Amino acid sequence: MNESLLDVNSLTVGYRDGSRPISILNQVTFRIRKGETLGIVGESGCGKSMTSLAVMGLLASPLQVQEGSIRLEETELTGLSAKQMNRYRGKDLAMIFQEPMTSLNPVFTIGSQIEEALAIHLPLSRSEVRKRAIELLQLVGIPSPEKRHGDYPHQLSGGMRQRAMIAIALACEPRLLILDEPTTALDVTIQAQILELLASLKEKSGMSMMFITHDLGVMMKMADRVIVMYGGRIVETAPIAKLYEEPLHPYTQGLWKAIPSADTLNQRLYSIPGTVPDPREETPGCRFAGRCPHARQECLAAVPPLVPMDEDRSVACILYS
Amino acid sequence: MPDVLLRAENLTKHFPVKEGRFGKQRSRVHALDGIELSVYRNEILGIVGESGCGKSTLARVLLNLIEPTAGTVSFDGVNLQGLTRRQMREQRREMQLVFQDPFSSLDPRKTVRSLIAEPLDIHRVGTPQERTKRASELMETVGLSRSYLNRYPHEFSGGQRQRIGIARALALRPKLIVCDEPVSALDVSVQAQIINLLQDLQQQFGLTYLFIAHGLDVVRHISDRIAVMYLGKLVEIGPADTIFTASRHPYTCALISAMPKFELNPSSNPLPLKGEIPSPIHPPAGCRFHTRCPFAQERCRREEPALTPQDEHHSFACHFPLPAEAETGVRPAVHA
Ligand SMILES: Nc1ncnc2c1ncn2[C@@H]1O[C@H](COP(=O)(O)OP(=O)(O)OP(=O)(O)O)[C@@H](O)[C@H]1O
Ligand SMILES: Nc1ncnc2c1ncn2[C@@H]1O[C@H](COP(=O)(O)OP(=O)(O)O)[C@@H](O)[C@H]1O
Ligand code: SF4
Ligand code: SF4
Ligand SMILES: [Mg+2]
Ligand SMILES: [Mg+2]
Repeated sequence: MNESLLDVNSLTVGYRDGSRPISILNQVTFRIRKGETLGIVGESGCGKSMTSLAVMGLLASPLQVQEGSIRLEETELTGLSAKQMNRYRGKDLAMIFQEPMTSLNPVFTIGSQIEEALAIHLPLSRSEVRKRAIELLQLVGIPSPEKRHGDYPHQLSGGMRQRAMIAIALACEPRLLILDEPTTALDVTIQAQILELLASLKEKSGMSMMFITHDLGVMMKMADRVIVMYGGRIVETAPIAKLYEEPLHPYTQGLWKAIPSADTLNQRLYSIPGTVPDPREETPGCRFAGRCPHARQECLAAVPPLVPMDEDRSVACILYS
Repeated sequence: MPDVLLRAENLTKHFPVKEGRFGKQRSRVHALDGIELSVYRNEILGIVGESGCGKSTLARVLLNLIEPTAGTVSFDGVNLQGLTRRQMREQRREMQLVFQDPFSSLDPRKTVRSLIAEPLDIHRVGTPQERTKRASELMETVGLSRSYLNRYPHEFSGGQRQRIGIARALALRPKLIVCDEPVSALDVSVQAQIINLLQDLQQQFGLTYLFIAHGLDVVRHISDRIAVMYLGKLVEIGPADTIFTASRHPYTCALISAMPKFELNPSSNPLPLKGEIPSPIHPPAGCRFHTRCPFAQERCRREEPALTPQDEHHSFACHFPLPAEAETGVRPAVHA
């Protein structure tokens, strides 16, 4: 469980606006161990999706990796051609998006979409492929899988579509499954079913997951370790229990306090003033300074680096250096 | 007796739809069936339930934006179904709607000034100068700088756009505001800003809210009472605290226990719901929840339970309700 599967180092992603380089992700460094679920949290626009797209090699022009490396065990992914990357995508790396309707192909049945994923990467006969596809539909809790095999995406409910997406993603038993807000579009009751399914799949398969969410309740259920992103940078990373009990970064503290709970009834909710800066907006020093209750002059001097506090937690804030 | 502002009686809305191979079969979506509901003056009434259960339809019928198939709505003692178009237009000043999606509910070609003043223009309130003045006051009321008056919606963040939507709803000094998922598209910290604003405005102007939302924690935070809907029916209604800690209807309990909790090692869900909400075109006979209810018995399949008052404040519709005393294992410990 201590071995790394994915190692991301000083990853900087962005594009050129004329002669000006714009960075959306800045010096992002983290790793995911084998069998571990890494949660990524932060407000919208903080760079969570960009991180997942970069790892999947799905950055669309003009976006590109400007600096840094992404290693899947021994393989450096950043330099790979599109064709080389295709060998890993679907097989070693798979991804599930928030809105399954946009990632399922509307003109093919869900069965044939699972079979396609299987046929590309695995040496199976036609009948084996079909058998495996039905097993996968069963595994993700789709009732009467033989019948559903022939359904088109529009014939399924939102929850069933998300199950079908999970079946496709799991087809080749990926080593890393990336989930970008996989339950945000679903009702709480269906969300609970999907989270339960994912937790049991993880238990059974031992695969690693990168779980992106802005719902801190969902994070508590799924993550072993969490990175908190703000303005395209990692501001804090820690195992879930430490982060929950004692968030160190003022941004993490603010997120924690803003959640309504039984303790906040009849009170005003805490809210972090202001909003996430746009990547084109330049800010001196700490990106959070404009919203931080502890900000002082030194915060504007330089970007605070992510500094280890103990063996498994780090924080990027001058209050701790 | 609480002072009733809005009262719905036997409120029913069926939408005709075409089904079958050639769209020949005429069917009806049972979006609302026999809803009995009172909204008290100055209260915040939360409405929860899964997608498609009829929350938005209820909002639209209560505001008489669509005609009910049966039943009546009275607002401040006036029966809305008895009004002429013209009278209804006057009445509508008192009841406003705030939508979920601040991105699509605002016309992108209009400046903030004209968006906020639009209701005043439609109802010809004051001179154009007075309307501009009121628009700029309203900007301040909802926490936006007056200097933004000539900007366009795309120049604002999601939270700011929701503030514009709220300013617009306030323009005609309504008594009732129906908020249909006002914070669903927002991040926690911005959500907190909007919730605080809505609460401040309620105090300041003595408003009444109907508050529809997916986020159960938000509904609990803001609501005085909560109504729970399932497949076009009202299944339970009571004080927010009762609904969260002492609900009697199995569906309410299941819904609340499905909510992801911000706590370490969240306990496993005591009442997981299997399956999905059935089609409202052919809702199950008897209790509509019987196909998913872990406590369903023969009687539930035959006989529809009526919404029955337990006490002055708390009503539910179930033949075999959960025991009143919280029993561990059945009822989730909420935010323990
Ligand atoms: N104009 C219409 N024609 C036909 N059916 C409709 C129409 N409007 C709503 N419905 C149906 O009525 C039911 C209730 O819809 P409604 O929009 O009120 O649900 P809701 O509770 O607001 O859901 P959500 O949480 O997804 O917003 C649904 O089955 C919906 O598909
Ligand atoms: N194709 C793109 N071109 C330029 N900027 C983009 C593009 N996609 C996303 N961004 C910007 O990058 C930032 C991070 O986006 P994203 O990773 O989607 O955030 P998150 O997933 O955390 O909500 C945002 O400010 C967003 O506006
Ligand atoms: S570095 Fe300064 S501004 Fe940034 S989070 Fe720490 S205290 Fe706040
Ligand atoms: S009436 Fe029966 S089926 Fe309906 S909620 Fe009660 S126990 Fe369940
Ligand atoms: Mg995203
Ligand atoms: Mg709705």
